[in-house]
Amino acid sequence: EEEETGDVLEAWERAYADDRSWEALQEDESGLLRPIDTKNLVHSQYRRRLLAAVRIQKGLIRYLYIVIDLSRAASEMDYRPSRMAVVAKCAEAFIREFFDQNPLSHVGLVTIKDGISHRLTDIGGSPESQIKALMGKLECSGDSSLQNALELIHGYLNQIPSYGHKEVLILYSALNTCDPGDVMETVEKCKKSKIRCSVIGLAAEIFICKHLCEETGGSYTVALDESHFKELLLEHAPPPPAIAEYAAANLIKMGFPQRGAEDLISICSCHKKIKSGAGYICPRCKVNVCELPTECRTCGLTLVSSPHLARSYHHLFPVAPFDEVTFKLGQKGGQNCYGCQQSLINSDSQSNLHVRCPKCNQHFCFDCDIYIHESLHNCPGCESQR
Amino acid sequence: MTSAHSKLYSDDVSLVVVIVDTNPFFWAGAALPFADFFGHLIHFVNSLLLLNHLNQVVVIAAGVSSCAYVFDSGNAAASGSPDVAATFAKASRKVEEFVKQDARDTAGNGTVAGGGAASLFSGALSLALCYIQRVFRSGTRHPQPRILCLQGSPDGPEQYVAVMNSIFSAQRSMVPIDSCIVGTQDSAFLQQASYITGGVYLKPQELSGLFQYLAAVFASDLHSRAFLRLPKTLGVDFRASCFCHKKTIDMGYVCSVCLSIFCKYHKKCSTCGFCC
Repeated sequence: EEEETGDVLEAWERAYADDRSWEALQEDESGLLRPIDTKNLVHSQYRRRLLAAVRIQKGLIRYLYIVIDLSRAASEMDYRPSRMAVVAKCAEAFIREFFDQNPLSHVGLVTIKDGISHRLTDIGGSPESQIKALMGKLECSGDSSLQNALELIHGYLNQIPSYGHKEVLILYSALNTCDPGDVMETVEKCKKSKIRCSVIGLAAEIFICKHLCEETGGSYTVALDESHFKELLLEHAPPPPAIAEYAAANLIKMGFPQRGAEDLISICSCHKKIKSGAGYICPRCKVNVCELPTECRTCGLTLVSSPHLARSYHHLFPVAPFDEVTFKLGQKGGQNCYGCQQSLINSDSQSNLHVRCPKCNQHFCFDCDIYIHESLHNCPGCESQR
Repeated sequence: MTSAHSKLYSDDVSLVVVIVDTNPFFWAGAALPFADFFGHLIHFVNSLLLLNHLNQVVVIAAGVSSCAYVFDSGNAAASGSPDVAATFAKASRKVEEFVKQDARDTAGNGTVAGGGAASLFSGALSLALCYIQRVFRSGTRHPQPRILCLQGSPDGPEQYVAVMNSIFSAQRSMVPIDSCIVGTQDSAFLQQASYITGGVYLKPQELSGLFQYLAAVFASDLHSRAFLRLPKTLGVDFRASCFCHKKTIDMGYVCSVCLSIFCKYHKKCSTCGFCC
């Protein structure tokens, strides 16, 4: 189709659009140019991340507050179009990814502007309302105050149930914090309340942020550019390692509603409007709710469906990391990747590196390795045998 | 739970990955003989290839002890125009070899139960998704992929976690999973798969007319599905079953650490051992 909505490139532009071939070169030791082997680079990056994540208990039910810094520093334009716009866009992607990976968790938004922090949205389980609120008010001015934000969040996070993991993620653009009192006391308070605070800085490394993260057990990272920022932000989406004393283990009462009959006409409890059919019926109080997961407004029962719980099972049953192997001469079999049937023998690369599952001994290519561990969470070889 | 048409792909070109259940325990007692069923399938594969010259079809067989790729139209097309008889001969040969090998593996393996054995559906689904990822990597213009499952044997509950992982991965990549049940009972896994990924679930009433069902419902590409009225399921039962008695429950207790589901309140979670 030559006509497409969106960007239409002229024919001469298309030739250069994806092909900035000068960027794909680097010098080797003797000063000669050779193409960058991005595939191997990406794969070794991914393996470092994978092997660092040993099998530990993760906090699956998370109550996370995202703090967006809307002080003067957020209007800086070193990130195009401005830091605030980039932060908002990445935060939207993060919120969607967060609910995808943690369906039973809740997110709330807090902003810092003019030295005062303000709660933008209440902690809730629906991504759409959070994103709408975020995109609505994006103006920045004044100073930023870490203490005010943390005090506000501390008050709210004290009200959540004891089995939830309390987390704060601060997206900080400023280089200072103007606080009304002693910020170290606030840090102590957060530490005592077992709130895990992490910070992603956009400017430079700041001592107070580092101190906050170290004391509360969170992670402090500083972004180098837009894509790095997005990467750092998305790293907070999977559940972090859980410290056992931080959240009490509890059996939470939950309801598994069935869909109402198609021709049922009733008033839904979330929008207070008349709806016909296609809703879920709370098993305890029998009101109609529109979507899952949610908390029934009438009786307070948490309503989920079994796929929502199943979304978190891969954290409990992860796939073992694959071993890197290369070809041995005279080895029979293992010519093609077991998953995608692509040939593993690459004539122009020196070493035919690929991976092998330690349990089923099937060979896979690098791309399938990344896909299996990051998205699919099943080893096709192990699933295809008894 | 939205349907999966997207304007990123070239409109009518599709890649269909067909997962065929070759469980010998099921086919031994089925109303439709496997040879007839395979004939219907091959005619369907050929019609798909005729609908658009760029269409691709891949067939994966799910046996009782192993899964394997049986047919890939990308390999066949290298020699020129697709020859209907040649497709049939090649695919039949490979399936026969696969079923024999599978039977040998099953006989040698003492753990298979017998009558109620399930086919390795999760393995075949994972292979299909890996293949589809390879197609996504092949460039900006690629066919719209979808998966069609022809399932007859019952669901294996030990595959629940693996099947759900595959379903969520398919949902993220926007690959619909269609299901056609050629057995006697409905499959809860496939109902959930089709519902979550936006595919079509069908249990034909007359298996002798299987080709007609396949051609009418499953041959249309994803872009055209927006204009067609395809069979809709009345509703999928998403209730969970408790870990202690395996019965479906309306309300239960979920452990906050390991997410196991119980029907009654216990002081200690039996899966992870955490006390409340």
